[in-house]
Amino acid sequence: MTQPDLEPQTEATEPREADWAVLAEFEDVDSLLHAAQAVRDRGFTRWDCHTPFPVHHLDGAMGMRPTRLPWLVLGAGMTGALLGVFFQLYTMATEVEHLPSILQGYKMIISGKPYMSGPAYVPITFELTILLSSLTAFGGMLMMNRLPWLYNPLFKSARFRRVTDDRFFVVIRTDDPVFEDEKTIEMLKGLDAVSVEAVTETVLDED
Amino acid sequence: MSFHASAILEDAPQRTLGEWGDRLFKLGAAAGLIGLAVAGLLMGIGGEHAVQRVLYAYIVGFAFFFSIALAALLFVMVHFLAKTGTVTTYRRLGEILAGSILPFGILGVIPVLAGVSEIYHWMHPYVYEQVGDELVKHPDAIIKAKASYLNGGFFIGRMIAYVLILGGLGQMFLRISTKQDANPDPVLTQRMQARATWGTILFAICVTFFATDLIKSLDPHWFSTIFGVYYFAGGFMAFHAVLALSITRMQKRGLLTQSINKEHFHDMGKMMFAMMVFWTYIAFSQYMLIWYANVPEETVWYIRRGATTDPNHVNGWSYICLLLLFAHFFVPFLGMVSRHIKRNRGRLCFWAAWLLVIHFVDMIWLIRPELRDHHLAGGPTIPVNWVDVTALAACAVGVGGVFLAIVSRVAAQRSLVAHNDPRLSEGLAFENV
Repeated sequence: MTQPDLEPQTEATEPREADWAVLAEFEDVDSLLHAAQAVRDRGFTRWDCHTPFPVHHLDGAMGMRPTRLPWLVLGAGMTGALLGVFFQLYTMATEVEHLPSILQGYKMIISGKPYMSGPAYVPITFELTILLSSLTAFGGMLMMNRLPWLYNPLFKSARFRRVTDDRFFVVIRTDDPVFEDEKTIEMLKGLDAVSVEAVTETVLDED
Repeated sequence: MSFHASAILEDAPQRTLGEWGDRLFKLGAAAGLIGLAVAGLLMGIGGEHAVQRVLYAYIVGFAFFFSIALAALLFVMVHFLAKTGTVTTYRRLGEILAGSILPFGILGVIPVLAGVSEIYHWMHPYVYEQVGDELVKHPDAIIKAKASYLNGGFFIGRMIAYVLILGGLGQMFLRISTKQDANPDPVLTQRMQARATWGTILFAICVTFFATDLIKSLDPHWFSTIFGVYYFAGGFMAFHAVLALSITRMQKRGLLTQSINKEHFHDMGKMMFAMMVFWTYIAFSQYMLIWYANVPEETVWYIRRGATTDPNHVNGWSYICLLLLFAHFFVPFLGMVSRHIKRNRGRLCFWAAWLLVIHFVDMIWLIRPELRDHHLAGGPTIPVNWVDVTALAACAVGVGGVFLAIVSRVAAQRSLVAHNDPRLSEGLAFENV
């Protein structure tokens, strides 16, 4: 007769801190732009800049590629326009033989206009174009930026709080292919950073 | 990386039109004299209805160039209201155009006021009926009812008031802004911001009534409450096209090369594009309501312009309607929608010239179909002939020449950059994201 084992089989893993990024703090726009150029030229890819306000020329200094979002929006807009025209034509100007009545359009004369009257279709077509374009622009922006993040390890840094006030930051992720612990930290220090610190992320190991 | 206004501006060797301004003045004055002389000559030799044909062509030219100057005034005021940094590098050009409203308006309304009886049907509030060989005169009840507003004296008074009010606003902004060139006091900017508030309201009222009086009252039986916006939308688009073209021309001559760059041109392109779409929106809004309601007293205006699919009413103007639909919207929409087009100087200038031409066509389409025989009110449009075409060309050159002469005289020895504007460095460093 064996005693039933009431204890869970696996032990709860302790949360532990893992290196996530290196945070460098700068005092002004010029040194930030200078540092961004240097980081860009060393071939880093997984990194970002944080500033209290939009900084002109930062995109160029970071070597950001032009966004592909406009193509998505163009496609969505054209889809919306075609959908708008199609639905209105189908519902208001067609009568198809052998189609069950539930799928038939209502061919109906409205205020003496022809079934297919262009001007009346314009508002709906326009609205659908705008609706799909703007939703795609908004959703596409979020997706391409991998947003929203519910939590960002940077919030643990006390220094990082000044990002909404008067400090500028460069963050290089440790999983960047070009990242090398000490060398990267030394490089950032060499770029007039006021401070350089490691940011950790709390992880739960699951085997 | 961050720009320093003073350093950049010190690089610029020259900031005024200088001698080139004198040459432009002479060129404009010569073109104005020749164009208007040809137009005057046509009145004499153009045969039947020649005086009216030439006057209508003149209104087209005047409405076209005046819409550009008026839009310049709103451009200046709106950017003061929004405290825009971006446009500070080229706002002075708008101020110069706005400062031209007063002299240009004073000269420009003279033919309209002198020819008011030839141009406007409401000056003759009668309907004539052909009975045998005789014309029998009946009073026109609709025009009679509007006579307290539409009468010669009040019309002339209103026209003068518009020119004085709008011209005065333009002069005021140009004067204060020029004062800042010598005295770098931000208080002057604050003063212009404060005056732009009531200035914008005054502008909206004056332009709406101006467009109604000058163009819409050509058909005193018709009404549309959106008409003033329609006129203004096309003008605002044309103004940005003029900006892009004239700055390109100036930069070829070595002016403004440091202060205006690709980013600013991109901005002008965006405004052109936006106002082109806005014009379409307004034009369609006006059309669709009238088309849907289908009330004869409203549709008559569109029927006269051939904007219909009814084969009985399709006329020569129908082709202009289609031209406006495609060349004022679909083609430039697809042509200008990409940012790469707006950031390419040559392509942007191509579209700017395109939009200027189509704005002129729009003015013709608004004005010329109203030229009818006053003795047969409600009668058909008098067909276009060589006199109209020649007169339109002559008036475009003539009024344009006068406009150019006035603008280059107003610009004269003024700096083309408001170099003491407190937001200038912001404008210089501007970048489109």
